[in-house]
Amino acid sequence: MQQPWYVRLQRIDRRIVYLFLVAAVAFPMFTQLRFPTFTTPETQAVYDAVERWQPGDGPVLIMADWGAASWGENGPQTQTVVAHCLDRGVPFAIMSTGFEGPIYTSHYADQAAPAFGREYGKDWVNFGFKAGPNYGQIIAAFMPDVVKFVQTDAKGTPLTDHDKLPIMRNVRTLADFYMVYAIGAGTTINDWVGLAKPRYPKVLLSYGGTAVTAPEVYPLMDSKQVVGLLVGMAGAAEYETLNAQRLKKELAALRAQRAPPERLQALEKLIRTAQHATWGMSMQSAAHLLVILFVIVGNLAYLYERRRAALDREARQA
Amino acid sequence: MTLQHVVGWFTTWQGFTLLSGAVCTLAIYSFLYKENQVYRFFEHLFMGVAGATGLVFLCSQTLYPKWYKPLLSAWHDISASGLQSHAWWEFAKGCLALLLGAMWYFVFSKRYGWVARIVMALQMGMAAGLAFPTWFGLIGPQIVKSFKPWVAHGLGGGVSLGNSVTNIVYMVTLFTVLVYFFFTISHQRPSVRGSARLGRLLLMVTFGAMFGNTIMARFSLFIERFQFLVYDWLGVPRPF
Repeated sequence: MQQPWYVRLQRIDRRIVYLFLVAAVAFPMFTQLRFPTFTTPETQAVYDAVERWQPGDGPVLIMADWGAASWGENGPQTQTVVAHCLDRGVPFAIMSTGFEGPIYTSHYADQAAPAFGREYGKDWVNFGFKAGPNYGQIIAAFMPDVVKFVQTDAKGTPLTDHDKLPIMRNVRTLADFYMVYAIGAGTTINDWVGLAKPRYPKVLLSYGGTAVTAPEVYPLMDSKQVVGLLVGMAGAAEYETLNAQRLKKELAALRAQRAPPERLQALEKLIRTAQHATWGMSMQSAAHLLVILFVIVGNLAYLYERRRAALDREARQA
Repeated sequence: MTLQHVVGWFTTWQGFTLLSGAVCTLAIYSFLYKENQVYRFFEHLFMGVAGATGLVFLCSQTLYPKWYKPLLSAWHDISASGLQSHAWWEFAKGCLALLLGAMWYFVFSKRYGWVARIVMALQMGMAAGLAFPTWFGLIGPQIVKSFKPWVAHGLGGGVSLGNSVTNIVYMVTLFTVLVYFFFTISHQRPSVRGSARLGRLLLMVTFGAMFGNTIMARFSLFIERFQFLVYDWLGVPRPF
């Protein structure tokens, strides 16, 4: 006997739900539907922190503790902040306790550097993968003597070779860094806040994490232990929007100055390609709307079933 | 998607990489239909590749430059200079690292398994030692910042209704959730019942928000893979 429609609606085969989800995600891709992006204070705070950097403030440490498993969220977060740092001339160092993060982050840096005329060794350095039994122990060993802990960059160049790595000229301890931007799928920022902030209060801390970890990090923002955070793909999309506005102005200025064509082309390509998260959020929004629709339909069917059962009971008693 | 793009899957290295990535992605996603052998094979393939890559990176980027090369260099120095060498400390550090690392493998021995427990205890002691300052450094400022004014002022100096409401909601949530977790006092007492119920309700709201964030995170991962399949593998032109 076929079940009534309101029961079938509550027990839709999950494979059909997946098909609807794929259709919802694909819709913005093929129709170029784009939802507007509004910048939240948390993302704006990270952007402003990079904007406030002045020469002499020291480099930014990008802790790329992420891998392919969280590329959807951490990848755009890394790409957009790296592009911003290269654009503003903020030097940065890449490090990680996993082996994938530095590879992807330095790939983003290599991609974006030609657009801004930046060089490896002068504008950024890749410390590479640092193994350790415990994240806190790595931070504890890194903070007081960066050169002794890291020793060489990922290519094997000693950090004391200031001809090849001029970025390391005035860097000895964590105090010589301007900001630590920790990106990861887990709450690695907790160790930085607990260990680094009490000893080096002037070093800013910011976090780019998956949406799952964001609720745990909001209290750190509230207590001003963390200057800002990028929440998942949404945070990356907001940062990309801020960056895109800036890069378009810069492109117009460079065209007026008749900058070299290869630099213009590289910048145009960067503006065009650094929009993964912005388009991803359109697809995300479509998926969320579908989920809301299913929740409403499922609940209406459930309420109708309960009402129907109550009416049937009353009819039987009568 | 052009014919040239499809031919490129089999004739160029980049194309073959894209094809492999797409096949692996679709094989894993085949689990959504039902459990199958293709999914199991690719799952094990991923685990093997991840483990092997991790081992290679560990050896090439950590063990070799940080342990083996300094140890070998210290040994050569000692062999050449004997007791006059200054490399004894480097050599001792390298040997200590080898000893502590080797002690871990005694976990496989029933008779000498206690040896592994020594190095495990060292590890746990170090982690516990670091946990204390980390906890105080993390939680201390949050406890201080929890005391918020119920009448908050905005940037202009006047009373800010939005900030005041936010602070009141914050304090009420904090208090009621703490009351909920005081299990030494019965929650049936009239003085506690209302607060505990409100605390539980607010906890459920929080868990709902966290679950929503989890959904968003999972969608993001799927969207990235979907973008790879459509834009990179199939070669559909990107809108950006």
